[in-house]
Amino acid sequence: MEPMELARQLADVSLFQGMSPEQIATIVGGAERQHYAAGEVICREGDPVDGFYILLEGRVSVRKAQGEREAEVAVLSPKAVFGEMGLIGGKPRSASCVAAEPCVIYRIDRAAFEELCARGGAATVRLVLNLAAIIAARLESLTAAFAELTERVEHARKPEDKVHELDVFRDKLYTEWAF
Amino acid sequence: MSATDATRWFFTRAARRMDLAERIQTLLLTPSRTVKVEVAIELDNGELGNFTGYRCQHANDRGPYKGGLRYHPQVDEDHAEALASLMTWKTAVVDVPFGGAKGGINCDPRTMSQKELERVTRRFVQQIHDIIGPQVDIPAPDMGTNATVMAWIMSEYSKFHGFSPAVVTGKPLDLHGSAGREEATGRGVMYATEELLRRQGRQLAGLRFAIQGFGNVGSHAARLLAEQGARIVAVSDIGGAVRNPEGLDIPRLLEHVARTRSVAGFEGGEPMPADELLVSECDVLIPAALGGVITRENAQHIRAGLVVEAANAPTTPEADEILEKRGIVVLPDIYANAGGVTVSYFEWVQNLQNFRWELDDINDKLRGRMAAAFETIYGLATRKKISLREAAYIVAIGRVGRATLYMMGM
Repeated sequence: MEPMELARQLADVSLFQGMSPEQIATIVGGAERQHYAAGEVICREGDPVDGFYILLEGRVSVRKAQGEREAEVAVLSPKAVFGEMGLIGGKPRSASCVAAEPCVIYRIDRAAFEELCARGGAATVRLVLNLAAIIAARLESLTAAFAELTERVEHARKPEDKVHELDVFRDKLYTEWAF
Repeated sequence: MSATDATRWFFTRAARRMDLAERIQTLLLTPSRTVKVEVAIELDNGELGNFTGYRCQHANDRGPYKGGLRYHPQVDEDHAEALASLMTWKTAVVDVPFGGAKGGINCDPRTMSQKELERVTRRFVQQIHDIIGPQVDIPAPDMGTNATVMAWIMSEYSKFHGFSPAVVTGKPLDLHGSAGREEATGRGVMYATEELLRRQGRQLAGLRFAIQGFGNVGSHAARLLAEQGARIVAVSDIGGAVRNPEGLDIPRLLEHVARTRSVAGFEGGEPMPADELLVSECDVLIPAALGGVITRENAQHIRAGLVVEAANAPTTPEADEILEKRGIVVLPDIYANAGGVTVSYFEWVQNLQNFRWELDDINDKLRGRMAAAFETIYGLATRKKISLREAAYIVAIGRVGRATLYMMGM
């Protein structure tokens, strides 16, 4: 696909917000178009980070190891950007990504990204700001989810405590406070 | 901080020490019911007198409700409720089989004739006779009421329910009252003091006492302590204060007070400013008048090594902390002045039995109750390294709590 045609296709991807098709083209010019069959692993939790992905078609399941099991923490739809966290944080992959159905994905190589950063310029600054916005949005929804979870845990625990209050009271009256 | 606030504060501190959940504290603090009634009477001048009577019944899991009836303009619902819970803890500390209650009428007995007081009392009983009774709720004298008022209550109640001396305590001796009831609180104060001294390997004889208040409690305590060889070096009342480092001659002082209504002007001692009594040179200080007199300000300067709380809530929580830090031992009100309710219990038992006990018998039994209660409180305080006050509250909460759980069917 022509870089300019691809750029137009990707114009409403969050990563490219506020950028002209020309600017997008310079970034995705070096992107590698990949096809995955359903169930195929795109990247694996714990692997070193060698690039990030833009999902063009299909759905991707994001999975994280929980002890011996693996839990699905998100399902990504087309135009989603993923695998970018490691580029910023430098840590290995925080989750595995598996094609939930046949997928078309653009992969931007770590080296290409670093070269862009080294070159600087308005497009790069925009790109990095957009990346930061994506990560911030994710943190925000995570915080909200955490708060809800905490609330639910509190709620789930209280009725039991309330039932035990009287038992505890009675036990103590005949042990610690017996006289 | 008011006396009732202080009581609640001490309750809460003990409840925290016991790790009681909020709901358990609510269960223990909430009164069973508070009844408010109209008490309208015809005054001597033909006018209508509108009064309101209250009876708060706090807890009855350990036995019938028990507590004083107060005639005072400030009596109201809050007042009755706060003081009712104090009775619950007090009856539990000395382990008499009663719960706690308090009530009264918002009238001023100082401005009323005997006839008006009798009418107001009988009208009140007409309004509450179905919520009191020998097995339900047994009133007793308090501020503004006395043995005569109790006699009217018994008389009016008996019109509805048949002859019932056990419906009130603190009655006149000639109407099923008990020997020793009048001096019971003062005597209990002496026994409480003796118990503590015994633990410290000391005795009453020769010790110097300062007593604030020379009413029913203070005067009897002074007389009984002096009979045991204690030196009463200072006393005060609303009219003034006197001191004598060698010890005041209490029988002569009692005569003086009977004649002049105050300790002021007593020739067997020198006058002193009344507010110096609390910080005067003595071994044992007995506040036997109002609540809230030992404060943050004067607690630093108290020279006694022992404070015996004959009054209700004489020590503020801040002052209590200071005394504790200074190593001054406090015998707390809910134990130290519980002699009154203990002999009230004896009066009730005699009434139920239609039997009269001798004074010696009553005094022995009172001593036994005060000694047993002290043993429990002192043992707990030593084991847990807490003050006698905190231990007394914990003993009370524990006894009430266990009974409540049984009565709730748990």
